[in-house]
Amino acid sequence: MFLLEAKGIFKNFGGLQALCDVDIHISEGELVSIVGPNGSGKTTLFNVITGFHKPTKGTIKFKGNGIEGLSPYKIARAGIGRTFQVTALFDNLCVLDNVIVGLHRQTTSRMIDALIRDRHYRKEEQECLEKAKAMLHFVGLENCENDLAGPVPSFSRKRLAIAIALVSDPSLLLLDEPAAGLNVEEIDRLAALVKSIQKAGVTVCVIEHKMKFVMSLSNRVMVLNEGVKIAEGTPAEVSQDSRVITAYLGK
Amino acid sequence: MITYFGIILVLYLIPEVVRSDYIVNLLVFFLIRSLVAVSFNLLYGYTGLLSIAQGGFYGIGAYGYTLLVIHGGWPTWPAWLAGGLIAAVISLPVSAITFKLKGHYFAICTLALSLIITAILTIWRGLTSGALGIAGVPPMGGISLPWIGEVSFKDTFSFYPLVLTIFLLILLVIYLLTNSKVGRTFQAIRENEELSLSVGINPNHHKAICFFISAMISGLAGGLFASYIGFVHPMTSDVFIGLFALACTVVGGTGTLLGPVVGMLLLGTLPEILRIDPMLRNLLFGICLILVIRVAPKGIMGILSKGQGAIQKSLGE
Amino acid sequence: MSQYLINGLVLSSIYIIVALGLTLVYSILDVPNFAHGELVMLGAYLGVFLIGLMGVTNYFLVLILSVFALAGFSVLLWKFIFRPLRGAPPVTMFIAALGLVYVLQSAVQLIWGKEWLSLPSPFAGSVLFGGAAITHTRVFIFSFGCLLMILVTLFVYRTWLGKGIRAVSQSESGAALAGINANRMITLTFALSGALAGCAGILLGHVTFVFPSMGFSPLLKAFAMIIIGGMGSIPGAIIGGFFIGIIETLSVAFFSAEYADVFAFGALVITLMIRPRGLMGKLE
Repeated sequence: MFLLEAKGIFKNFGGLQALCDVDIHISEGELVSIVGPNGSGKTTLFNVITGFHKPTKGTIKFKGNGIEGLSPYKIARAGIGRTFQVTALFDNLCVLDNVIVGLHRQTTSRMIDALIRDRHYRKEEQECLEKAKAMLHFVGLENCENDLAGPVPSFSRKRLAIAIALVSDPSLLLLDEPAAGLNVEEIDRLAALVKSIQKAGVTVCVIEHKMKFVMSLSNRVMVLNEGVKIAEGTPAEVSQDSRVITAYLGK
Repeated sequence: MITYFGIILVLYLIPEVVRSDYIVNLLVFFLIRSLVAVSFNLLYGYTGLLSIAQGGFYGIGAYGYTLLVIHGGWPTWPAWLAGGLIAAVISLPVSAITFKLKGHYFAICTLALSLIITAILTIWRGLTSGALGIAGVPPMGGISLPWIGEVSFKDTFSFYPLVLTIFLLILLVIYLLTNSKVGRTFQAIRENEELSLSVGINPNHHKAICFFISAMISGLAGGLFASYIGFVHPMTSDVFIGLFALACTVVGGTGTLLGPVVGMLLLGTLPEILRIDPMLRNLLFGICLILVIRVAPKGIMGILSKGQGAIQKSLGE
Repeated sequence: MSQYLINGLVLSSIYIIVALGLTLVYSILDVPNFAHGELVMLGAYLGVFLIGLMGVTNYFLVLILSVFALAGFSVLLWKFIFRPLRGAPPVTMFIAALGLVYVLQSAVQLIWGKEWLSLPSPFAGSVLFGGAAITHTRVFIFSFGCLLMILVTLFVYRTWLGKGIRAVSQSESGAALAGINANRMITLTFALSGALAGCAGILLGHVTFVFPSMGFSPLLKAFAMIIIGGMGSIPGAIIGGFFIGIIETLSVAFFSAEYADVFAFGALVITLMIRPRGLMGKLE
């Protein structure tokens, strides 16, 4: 059984057809990349999978359960984490708090517990603090725990966003253009981070423009163009595919 | 810790020191109106919801207490709590209506709902006696305390410690909530609702809770007001109560515990203590508002914390 | 019954002029000007000052002076209060406008006191229409109001300046590329908005009393009108205006004046629930 299986996804916005009969399946432990020119529907596909958009048509199964049409928070609670194309952080909270918020779906203490600060709440807060610190260490941000998230430099922002999405142990992590705006050295560090995420047992799906990044990391690549899947296979296969070359050259 | 106890003790002893009916009366109003500002701050400073509906909830709490005691024959304390609860319950449909609205549409909708509440209180003459208002609202009932005996709350001097206690308790609750996971979640929703969704937070659930608590506090404040002055009127729910609370909170500093209180003290109570002419008072209030928002958007608490930060920096160097 | 209808129609036409001024500023700033009602109030007081105290007998001179004075004052408010706050979160402009409300209302009260004044119109006499007596004043107000609506619509859609305003309101960067100075257009919009407020103030003063807080209620009604019609839309303000006018008039006729508030603001809330952008507003 696939970890994630989306079949026949259509998405229309008014008159614009952003996705047309797209299928995608991801097996546990894989690292799949979705590539394609600008406007080919990659982020829309992520948004449909994670519930930010409802598919016009199609089914999506995660761990065997249908998730199409569910609210984003329900899908997050089912175990799908994501980052956003425009790096999304809680700018006015400190870096550590940003990650602690990411643990929300794992917490069970209620508001009353928080109010009276009972043992259950305090134990959970302590655990969250430790997990968050460990995650910051994992992404290399342990030195800026108490900094405000807003002014943090761009590569740190990206790593923080990944930390937030990753800290609650999702089964599937979706990264939307994580390498955008990074220099060569940062891209290498990012690639190493993504590899270690996969090694830790998280299934990863990446949207990316930068072909080098994609080629070195992915088990499988899927190519979208104007809302349609035009190729799928190993990185080597896809890069030789004439349709793919035309699509990229044509833009 | 000791400083806090000291300050609280001083607050309780003020009536003994300042044996002035006028000043203690002012303090009572200051405390009651600060509660409204605190309730607004919970909504806006923490969760980012710019609500102008506080006046409506204040009025509902006031009328709830009044009608339950006078027509329902309820004892005063349960009636007071019930008044707050009624306001909180009415916040639920308000939440449902307003939550999908963004920014100023949300604010305008809450404004409209506050005006509708005032209009309903005026129209529903059978229940509220309309624009005549209801007089003879009983004060809060007395309680028997150990060692002290029977304590009544019929006059300013005896009412003050009651209001102060309730105020401090509510402030404590707000402090415990906002400095916890709950407050963190509220702020996350304010900062980035999409990101909050992506980590499994249900924003509407938390916004509704925030609104519920905020409306309850405003409602309880309204009930205190009614029991103190003994008279309610549709204008008790006037929209300017909410607007004034908003203004004081912004001037004092949103998102801080004491910001709304400081703002209310400076803009609401200080002018009265200085006996500034009422018309001049509003003029200065408006000028103050414009100046603060231009010069110090983070409010007075923002200036204080910047100052504190600057001092700490210079000490550290 | 027809008396109610006529009064309602006349009052609505004034409120629509207020709504036009409000929606113009909203269309170009994306923030509603909460102090707009106070500009209307100032227009009324200026009329009282000119006619009552200065004894100016030329009515159209009064109108013109009011238009220019309020246009100028509105531009001053933009330059000194609103423009410096443009980058900040929208709530700051709202607070500044709220501050203005307090400042202007109390300033007027300090100068003129709290009493309700009247603003006499130069039109005496009345005419019979369908069994009801309509004063010439009311006929003038309604006609002048409609004239203003037509003029504003023509200005915004047919003149070069009007197109400039629309361009900036749709996309400031796009307009800049076309060589349109956004700041100048915003200044023009504020001037126009102030001018409309000045007219509305004088017209309003003819049918109700003049007092410091007289601007707040028309502002709220104008809000209801532009929400229903679509914020930022000129035809929307007019259509929304007549819609609210009808609701209010029917409420007063069948129930009582207090119900007018419930139904008008109820319509506002319902609009926000089912179609927040109103009839003709742009999609956010």
